[in-house]
Amino acid sequence: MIKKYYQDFNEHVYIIKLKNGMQVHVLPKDDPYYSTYVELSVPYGALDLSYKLNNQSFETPYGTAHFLEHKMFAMPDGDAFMKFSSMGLDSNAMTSYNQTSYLFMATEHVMEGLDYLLEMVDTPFIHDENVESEKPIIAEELKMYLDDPNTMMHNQLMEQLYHHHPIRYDIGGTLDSIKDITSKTLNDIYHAYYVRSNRLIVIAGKVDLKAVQAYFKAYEQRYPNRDEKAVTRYPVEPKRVRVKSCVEKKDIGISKMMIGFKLQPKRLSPREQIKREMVMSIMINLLLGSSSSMYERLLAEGLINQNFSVGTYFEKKAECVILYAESNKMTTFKRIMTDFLLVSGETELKEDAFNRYLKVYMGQLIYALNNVEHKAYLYGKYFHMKSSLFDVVDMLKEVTLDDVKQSFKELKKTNMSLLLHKKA
Amino acid sequence: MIVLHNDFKTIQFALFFVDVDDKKYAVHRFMLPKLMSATTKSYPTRQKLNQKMEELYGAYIKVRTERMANLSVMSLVLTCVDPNIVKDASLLDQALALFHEVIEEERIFNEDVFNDEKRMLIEQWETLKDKKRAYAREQFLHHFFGDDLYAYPISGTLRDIKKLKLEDVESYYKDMITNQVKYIVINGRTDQLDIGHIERMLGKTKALNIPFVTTFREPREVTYVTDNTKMQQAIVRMGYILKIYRHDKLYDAAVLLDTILGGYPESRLFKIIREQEGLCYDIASGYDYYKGVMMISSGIDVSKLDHALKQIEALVEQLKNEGITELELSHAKAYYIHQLKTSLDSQSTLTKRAFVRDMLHYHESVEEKINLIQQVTLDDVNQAAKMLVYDTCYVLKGEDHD
Repeated sequence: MIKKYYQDFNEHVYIIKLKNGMQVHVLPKDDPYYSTYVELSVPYGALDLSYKLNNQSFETPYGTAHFLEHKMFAMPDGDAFMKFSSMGLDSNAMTSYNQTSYLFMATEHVMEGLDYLLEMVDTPFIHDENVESEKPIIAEELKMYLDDPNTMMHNQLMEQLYHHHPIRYDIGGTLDSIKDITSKTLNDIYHAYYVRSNRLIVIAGKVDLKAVQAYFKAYEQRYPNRDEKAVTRYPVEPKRVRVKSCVEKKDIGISKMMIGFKLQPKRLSPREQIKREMVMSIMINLLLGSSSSMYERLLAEGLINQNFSVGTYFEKKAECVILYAESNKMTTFKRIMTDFLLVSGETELKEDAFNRYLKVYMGQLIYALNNVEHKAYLYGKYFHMKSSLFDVVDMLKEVTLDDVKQSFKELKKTNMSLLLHKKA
Repeated sequence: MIVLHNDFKTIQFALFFVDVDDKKYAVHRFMLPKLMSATTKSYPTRQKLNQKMEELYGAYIKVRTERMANLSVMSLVLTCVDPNIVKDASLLDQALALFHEVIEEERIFNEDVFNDEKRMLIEQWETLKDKKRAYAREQFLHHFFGDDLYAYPISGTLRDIKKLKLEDVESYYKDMITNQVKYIVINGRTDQLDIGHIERMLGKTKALNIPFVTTFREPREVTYVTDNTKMQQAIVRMGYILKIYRHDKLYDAAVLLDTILGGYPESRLFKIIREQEGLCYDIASGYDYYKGVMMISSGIDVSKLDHALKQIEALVEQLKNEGITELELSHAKAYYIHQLKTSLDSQSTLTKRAFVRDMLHYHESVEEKINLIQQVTLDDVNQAAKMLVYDTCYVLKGEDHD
């Protein structure tokens, strides 16, 4: 077992590396503390649609990762979700673009829960009948999102930005694509991506370290082999956006606009890639965050409301910046915003604001460490990015204002796409 | 002042202002915390205040206005990182000085900010129909609670908002600061704090001097309301009257009943309506112990709406008539106790819990509470189930294309 101590945050991490390639990272919290959070994740998500394994190529429908996440809870003796509940544990699962996570929160029966979580992930019980019965449930989940105008707009903007990259489809897929998912698709995926060498287990909170160590020693003896894992292939994506602008009249209460900038992914080390994400996030927040002059101006002129937001997406081979606004004065908003983002905004990237935002970034990390669930999720996310949550502070120290200014130059008219849903 | 000492990595300073819930002042109480936390004397614009918050490592003030039975509770919670982690000894003094200005007696409000907030609130109302689930919730509350204050929008109505003037808010603020019930909670590594200084900055507690009343109307003939709009699903909300309140003997039995009905993945609604019938993705029940009501909500396949409604109604009837099993009870107890313990690891939950316990004089320890839950019998839950009376069914739906 490897022990690490991060003095700045008073956080300990214990790492167990199994011969089969699986890793277990324990982030204990001393008494008085009641909860234990356990998360098992694999680096397989909605973007892993096309893959190669043992010299064979496979293509899968959109939404396969999310569908498999639902079906992993199927067990020969019933539903695992209910079994966790009957043990007094809160279980859940999540599919993102790049990973799938299975988790539970416990205050009792931690080791029984851990054993059952592994039994569940080790027992793919996926057959034609239970795949077909899951389709109407997932269809209702997708319809729930389709009834949300903001999700619809987001999906539409992604389709405008990307020609081929799977990020242009919703994580859950479409009502049509899920019809093509079969038990064979899911079983193939399971054996390609859910191999033990792809699995990370993070345990945070109240932990009996000795019990965990003993458990995984026995688990390793049961499953000593390291299996071959699949390699995802991504389609070649043109630099230009697919659609530059789209205006649609809608029966809505206020006009809504999304502006997206498609960034060109770079070949970088994991550390440099994380720094790139930080730089882009700092840049867009200095320009349009709640303490910026532009945000103050847009509010004062009645051009935006509380739903205004900016964000960045850094996924595998797809990176973009997205802005969302609701306004009754959309023409003026669009004029000001395009000029600001493409020309005049650079003057707002100032030293004092930059230094303030570094403090915010640091603060956000501390807030995340306050919550075991959030801490464990972020820990897993950075692990799959081949880095560590606790190294983020060091990376932050390496970011300069000049990096931020350089990143502004990536916002270009040629890689911008605009979507306007105009109030009819 | 309530002081909670623990080792969270942040420190919270929380203020709770309490008054009798009153339609006349709903909009004032909704708007005020937003205005109070937007500017102060030293930071007279939003931008200046936000910049100061960034200086304090992204400290933030979370505001909320909510109902608890006949009371309206307005909260302002300042969360700030523990100064020991960032090695900034002046951090808490700066944060406290700022929070002091938020509740200064003689403070003034920025008129531009007031107008912005008013405009945004109006826009929020005008776009409510776009957010189908929020719209369905608002409509359901309107039909279910009827003349009761719980039907009145927490933000006030669109008319209230449009009529509101800054002078009204300022005058309400003065009355609130000087006269109203106030609770203060500090939560985090408090051993390093000068409590006397904090009390001087944030004032002293003014304990509740208003009767706490939990009542609701009698059941009526079941009311069915259906609205049509452009959407894929049917959003269903059902209301049952369950005359068991927070202080009642059957309170824990009612919580367990809610858990068994639709409170977790092993619940009957989840197992039967979602997993067996495949009629929905989300379905859950919720129990409001201040109002004595149980509510069910779900997004249903619109082509199977009638069948789904019948199934849900039948499921509740069966629960009332045939009761629950010992296994259901023991699993629900384990889940309830788990939820209780988990909530004690959340700083924000602890802060609010401390306020509610102090105000309503709940003094039972965690162990005592767990003991009470363990003592609930099958008969208690079945007795609670029999008290469920179906009252209102609201559906917001799209066209059925099948």
